[in-house]
Amino acid sequence: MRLGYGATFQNPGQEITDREVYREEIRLARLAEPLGFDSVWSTEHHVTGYQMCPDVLQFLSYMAGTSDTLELGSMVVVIPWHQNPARVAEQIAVLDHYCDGRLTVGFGRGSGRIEFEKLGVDMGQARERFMEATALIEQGLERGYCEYDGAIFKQARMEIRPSPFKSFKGRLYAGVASAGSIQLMAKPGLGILLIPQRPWADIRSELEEYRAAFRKQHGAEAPPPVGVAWVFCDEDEQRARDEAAKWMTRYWRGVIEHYDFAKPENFQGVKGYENYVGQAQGIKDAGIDAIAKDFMDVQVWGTPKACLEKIRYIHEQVGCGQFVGIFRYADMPFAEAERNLRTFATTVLPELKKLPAKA
Amino acid sequence: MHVGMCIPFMNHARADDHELMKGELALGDLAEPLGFDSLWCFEHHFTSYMLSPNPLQVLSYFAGRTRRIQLGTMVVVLPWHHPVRVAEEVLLLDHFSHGRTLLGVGRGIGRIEYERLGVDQVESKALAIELIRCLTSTLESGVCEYDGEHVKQPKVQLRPGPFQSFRGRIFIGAGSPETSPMCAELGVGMLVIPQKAPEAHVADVTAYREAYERIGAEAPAPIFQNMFFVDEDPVRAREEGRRQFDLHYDAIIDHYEFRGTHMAADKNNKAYAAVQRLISTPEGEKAWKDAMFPMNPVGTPRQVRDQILDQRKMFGAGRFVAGARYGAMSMAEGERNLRLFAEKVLPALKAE
Repeated sequence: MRLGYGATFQNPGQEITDREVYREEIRLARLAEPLGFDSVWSTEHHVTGYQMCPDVLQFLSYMAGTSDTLELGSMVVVIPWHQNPARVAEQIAVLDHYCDGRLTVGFGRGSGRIEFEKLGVDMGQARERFMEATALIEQGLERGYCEYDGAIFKQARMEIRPSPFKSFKGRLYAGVASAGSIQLMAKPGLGILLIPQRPWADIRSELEEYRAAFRKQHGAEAPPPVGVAWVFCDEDEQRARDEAAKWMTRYWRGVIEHYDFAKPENFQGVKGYENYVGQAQGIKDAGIDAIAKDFMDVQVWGTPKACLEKIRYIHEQVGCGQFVGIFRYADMPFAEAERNLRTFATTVLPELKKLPAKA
Repeated sequence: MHVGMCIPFMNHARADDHELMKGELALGDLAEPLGFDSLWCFEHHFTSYMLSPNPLQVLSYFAGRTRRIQLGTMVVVLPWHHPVRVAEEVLLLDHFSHGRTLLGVGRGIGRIEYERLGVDQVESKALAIELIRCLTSTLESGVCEYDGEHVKQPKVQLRPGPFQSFRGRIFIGAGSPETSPMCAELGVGMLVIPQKAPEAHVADVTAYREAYERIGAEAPAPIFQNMFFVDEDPVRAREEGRRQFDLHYDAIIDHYEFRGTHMAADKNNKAYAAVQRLISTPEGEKAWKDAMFPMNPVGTPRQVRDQILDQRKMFGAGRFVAGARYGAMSMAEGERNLRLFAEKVLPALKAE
């Protein structure tokens, strides 16, 4: 199995400056490959300290400059936030030249209302924008030009220069979190990037349906999913438990706040987000602490042995070809994040590399 | 004198795009070891002219593989960008490069680019002016907010925020005496990017200085850029240099559709309409190329040095950006040109 490092650029509490966060996040991301990781990943977010990577393809371009062997991935480019998907196709094509084709592009739909608002995009159109924009980009990258006539996006023929030099088949993914959306990605031929908020075992059966639908639609196997999880690894069992609880709870609290996940009214009547209403009601009723515990149950934490077992379990459940770990989140001090990363890299990572690419 | 180099990713020879990209990136890698002070990239879309749709992205790549040199855009064509996103991208580059960003901005005149990006070219000048105002203030404050005729952006706080001022690091690629005075009003510098005869560029610079004088401030010395051809053999330099530049000018003619007539209808592009009229005949085309040619230093190392120093004096420039590979030139010729320049011309310029 391949191993990825996910950078989040979080600065919710502003205990340090954005500048310090950037300096340190970059330092850790540059450590990933020497420590044995195959790839570096990040996520698009705007306008708050929740996550500060507004152009993930630009960050990956920076990382491409640091190494001639590192693989790169977005988890995700939030495609409905882009007014002109053909520009994103250009950015992808250019980046693929920089890194000689070692790029995987994950697209997402986004659910941060503040980001939709500040970027001037109607959240109720997000699903439609996602489907149209990913189709426009996928076709564009295969044909070398974008041309599309959709309900939302209309693109007169536009050459992508530099021309894509390698097919993106099997390299375009969709980040999915909510129940029921995995199967939707079979038809457009997208791989699945699992950013889990619910039990891995629940995802397993959905993946089976997706794989069958993919086979039927495309006459080929779906690309292996990429599994993402938050990691806290420490040789001391007690410390691992306490610190994981502390940082993962803070992280999850930040998620609930950023997305207004505890406010059902936030999603009421927003097309495409119907099942967020019930989820939000559930979070509101259960309280953030209880929900944070559910979140933790899905993630990877404990001694190196416990982390290894958990990732083996994830691998077995979803058959991921790659696992991406997130080692620094909320306002975790960078010294702690680096310790976390290094412990994982020296103890867990070598064992994971022995796992087959498919379960 | 500060001396930078630029990589335009020109593919007028229609080489394989991947080969072209790798070759130009490899030339860019030489900037730091050869002793240049900065590396610059352009923005162009859709044609073989320049395979460089996002200068902030390519400079982020170079931020990952350089330590010392500054990284400049010449230019980010603002009307082709969303005001929030372009500010975010500039701030990211500054974080990746630890503050080594130099930001040239401009308006762009390619019809094919305006059309396919879905931007109204008729309003390009007014739009560019509003976007420049919006961006310069956003980069200082970290807050993007603008209420103009064309740009309406509700207040938004950008993260990551700026960590050092952009004062002294922003430049407008001003190509007419009407636009260059705007630099003074915004307190920014000026880029001289060759697109006409030297005297015409001098007129732009003069208007720029006068505008600064009117507000009682000293104009920052302009940055001037050009492509050069240097060879120890003066005959080869003259002959091969002219041949390479004729191909380079052909690339410009193709991309900007200078063989057409569309500029005549555009209130913003009177000067370019005149170019279109001129090159509508073979004699006129040659006359236009003859007028452009003096902007490009061509000759032995000594001749090239002298031409650059003459231009520096003419523009009162403080920084110079050199382009070694352009038009339809092969990578091997481009690298030869660059290395000879770095060895024989660069030290003298840096000593100035």
